[in-house]
Amino acid sequence: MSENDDLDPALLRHLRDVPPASASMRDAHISAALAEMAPSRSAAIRRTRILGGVAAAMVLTLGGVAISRQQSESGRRPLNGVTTTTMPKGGGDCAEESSGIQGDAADSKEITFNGDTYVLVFRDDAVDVFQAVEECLVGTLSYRDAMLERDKESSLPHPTHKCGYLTEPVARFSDEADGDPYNLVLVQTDDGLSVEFDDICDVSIDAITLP
Amino acid sequence: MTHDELLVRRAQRGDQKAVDSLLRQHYDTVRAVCHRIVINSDDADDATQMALIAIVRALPSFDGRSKFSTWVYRIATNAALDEVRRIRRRAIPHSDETFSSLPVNDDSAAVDAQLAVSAALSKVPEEFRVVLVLRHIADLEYDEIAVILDIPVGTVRSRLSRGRTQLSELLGNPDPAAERQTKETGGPP
Repeated sequence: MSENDDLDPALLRHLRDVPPASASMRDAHISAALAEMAPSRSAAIRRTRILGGVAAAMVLTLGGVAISRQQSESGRRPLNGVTTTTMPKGGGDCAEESSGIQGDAADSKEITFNGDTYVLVFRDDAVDVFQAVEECLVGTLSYRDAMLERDKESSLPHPTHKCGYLTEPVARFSDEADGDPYNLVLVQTDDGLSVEFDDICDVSIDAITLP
Repeated sequence: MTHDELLVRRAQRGDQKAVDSLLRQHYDTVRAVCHRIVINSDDADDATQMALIAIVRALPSFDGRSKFSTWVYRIATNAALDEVRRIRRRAIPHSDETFSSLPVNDDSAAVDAQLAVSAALSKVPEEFRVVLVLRHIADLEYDEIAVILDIPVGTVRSRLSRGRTQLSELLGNPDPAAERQTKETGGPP
């Protein structure tokens, strides 16, 4: 303390000695606060409207459009451990625990796929994909393990090496695990989205199928 | 970038685990600030809840110009003061009871001592009490308190001095600073 603080030590001790909260009260307080992170539907709609300008440039109209990708889906070379999440057609019920778009507008993008609108939320190590209307979490594209694998193998990112795409990626972004940042892209597939390193062409790290 | 700064950045990007971690990290102090400003335990817990909610809501607007902890305690202070204003509209029976002096070296009387401190704090004017709490519980520097309360540093210093004197007198303990000043000026012991 840089200032002169004369307070009887016993008094100071008792002043600071607030009886601790029970674990259940602490958890309840924090849970209630965390619930504030799930915005209301109207807030989500406002957010996506704010994104309108940016989103307009990012909108994908995949439905009914012949996608002429250079490589077919079967030609993609997945990394070890790649999983593809497939959601039931029609969306199904929105489970309570997976509903509510969580994230900040600055890290979100809106896309359209087969006539349905989705919101991409970019968070550390993953991209969450939500249905915009029901606010259901459709799936998560994870790439942390792939980054860690490259860190471990000293497979350093090539900042100047960028793959060519017949269809412009849905999004370009960068993220890091424990080492250097990697440039990543979200690209459209015939039935959904795939996340890839921008310097390792046509290798899917993770993919999801959209309804 | 420090671990805490990274945690805040992740929280601002909507990482729920990061927010949870930040709230748990600051929970005890936020609660202590609320309890010492609000006094009444149930109301203080309400204030704590409101403070945590306000922190989460305001997180995206945190610009890093102050320390994150200072920003958190500012929100906690405002939540506590809001609760005090709400309570003030309720009828509170006034008690003229005298406060027991703090026991010395008697841990078994800790609960009584806590009650005595709470009762005495409730008698200290709010503007002094808040400064006392921010200084001695949140461990904030004078300039940080000045920013939080939007008052000059000199006012922080004077309120702190007067608050300490009043608190000590209410508890029947001599205020060390006042006592030393008296001795230095040759006044009565």
